[in-house]
Amino acid sequence: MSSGIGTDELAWRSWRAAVTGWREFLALNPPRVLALSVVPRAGLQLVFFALLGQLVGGPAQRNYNIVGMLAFSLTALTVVMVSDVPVVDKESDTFWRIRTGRVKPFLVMLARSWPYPATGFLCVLLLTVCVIAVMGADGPGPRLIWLLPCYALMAVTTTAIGLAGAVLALGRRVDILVSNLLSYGILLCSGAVLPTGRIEWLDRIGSVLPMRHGLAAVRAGLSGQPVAAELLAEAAVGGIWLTVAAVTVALLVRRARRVGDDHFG
Amino acid sequence: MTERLASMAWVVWAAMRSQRRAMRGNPFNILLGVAQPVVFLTVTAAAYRDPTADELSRLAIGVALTALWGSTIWAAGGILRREHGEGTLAAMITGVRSPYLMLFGKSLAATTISSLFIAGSVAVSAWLLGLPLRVGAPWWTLLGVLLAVVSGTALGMLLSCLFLVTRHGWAWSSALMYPVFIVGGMMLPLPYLPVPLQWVSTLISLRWAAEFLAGTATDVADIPALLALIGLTVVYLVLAAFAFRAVVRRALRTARLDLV
Repeated sequence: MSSGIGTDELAWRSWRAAVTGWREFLALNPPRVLALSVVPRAGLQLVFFALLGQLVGGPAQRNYNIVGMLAFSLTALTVVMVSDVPVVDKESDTFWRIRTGRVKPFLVMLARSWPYPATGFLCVLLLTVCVIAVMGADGPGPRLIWLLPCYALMAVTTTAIGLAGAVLALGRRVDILVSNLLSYGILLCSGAVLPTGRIEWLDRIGSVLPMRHGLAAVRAGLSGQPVAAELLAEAAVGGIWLTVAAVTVALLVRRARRVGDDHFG
Repeated sequence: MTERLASMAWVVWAAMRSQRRAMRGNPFNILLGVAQPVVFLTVTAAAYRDPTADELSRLAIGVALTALWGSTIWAAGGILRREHGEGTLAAMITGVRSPYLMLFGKSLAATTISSLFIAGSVAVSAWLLGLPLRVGAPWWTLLGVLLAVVSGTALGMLLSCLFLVTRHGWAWSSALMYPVFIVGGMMLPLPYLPVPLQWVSTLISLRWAAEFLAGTATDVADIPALLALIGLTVVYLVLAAFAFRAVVRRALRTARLDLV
């Protein structure tokens, strides 16, 4: 609950923050730019890694990479671009208004972040349909459609790490570096294109990063095995990163109140 | 004549120093010069099924040149856009010194710095991964690397002019990366591409750099690939000169030095 306000008021204020988030998202990422840059880039990235998979391990590795890159296509929005949510406030000198508002700043940030995982998931949906239509039985198969909820969960968990990275980097003006490094780290350690068990220390890092367990669930689902345990692990990892983000925002707010500066460095 | 050459060399050197300072602390040095090649090399080399030493050498060269293309788009390709953004483009174009030489110097510095980052990252990650990389003909390899840097410089100049005349230069940079990764013939051998797209890579100098360097790794100097690399680099430099002149003329004709 936020600053002693009732549930109805909290819901209304959160709704207003979500509407503002959508408008801000459209202002920063006009539909034309999303359609002509973000989505084609995700598709081309998938094609590139699918062909690389074919080169290094034949059709099995190609399909492995396709399943992984469908999930990785989320990160452009949910890890890299979502950092705009706190960064724009810092650059626009509006953080103090959120800090002094009645709703907790982290709740406002969350409510304003929803377009990123939502658009990321739509991108995955579009790419999945294209993969199934183009590759048919040669690809990972139509079963992918039934596993889209796993990708929806990964959209949320990757947004959690994206927000955590953004707020951790806020004071150092390294948001571009941190968000992109997180994205590369996820590509390297999540098992998106590098099968697990090849490099042990990457597997260890991957187990605390989003996408690793979600992708394991998708791969288990494709081979007809249960997915619940991996999905729970994915949700737990997302929860940890969300907590990191929430604690960091709380510390930033406390520091801003103490020193009277909302620029964080 | 000697004095004129010395003056030109000074302009290039001063532009290089200016670009080096501009790139200090730029996150793209780390992202495209270190993170991207390390991740690409790791995920492909570790997933490779029964690779030969030649295949791994070719892969490392392909990763390095792919990263060079990415860096060229963002670093060298963004030089004039950055001048425009910082309000120094008009001074550069109307100055006493040749703006083309300044663009060349800045692009050369950007490509050289990116190449040093990329070469270091690829070498260290190959060593950590235990990849048996080979350098069969060191002098040919050195020549190939230097030509790849000059070619990247020329490509950067050309892209810099093209990105300047659009308001959506960043979106173009982003959009151009993966198509060339796919059809450029650097990491992906041509037989893996659809036949109608295979010819595209013949226009990309870095593809010929990849072929030449892959040859030198096995002690073979692929002279046709070397000539193609040199020829395309010259073509890029000439096209960049024309594009730059056209951009400047347009700016003078319309009296808008912000160009877009």
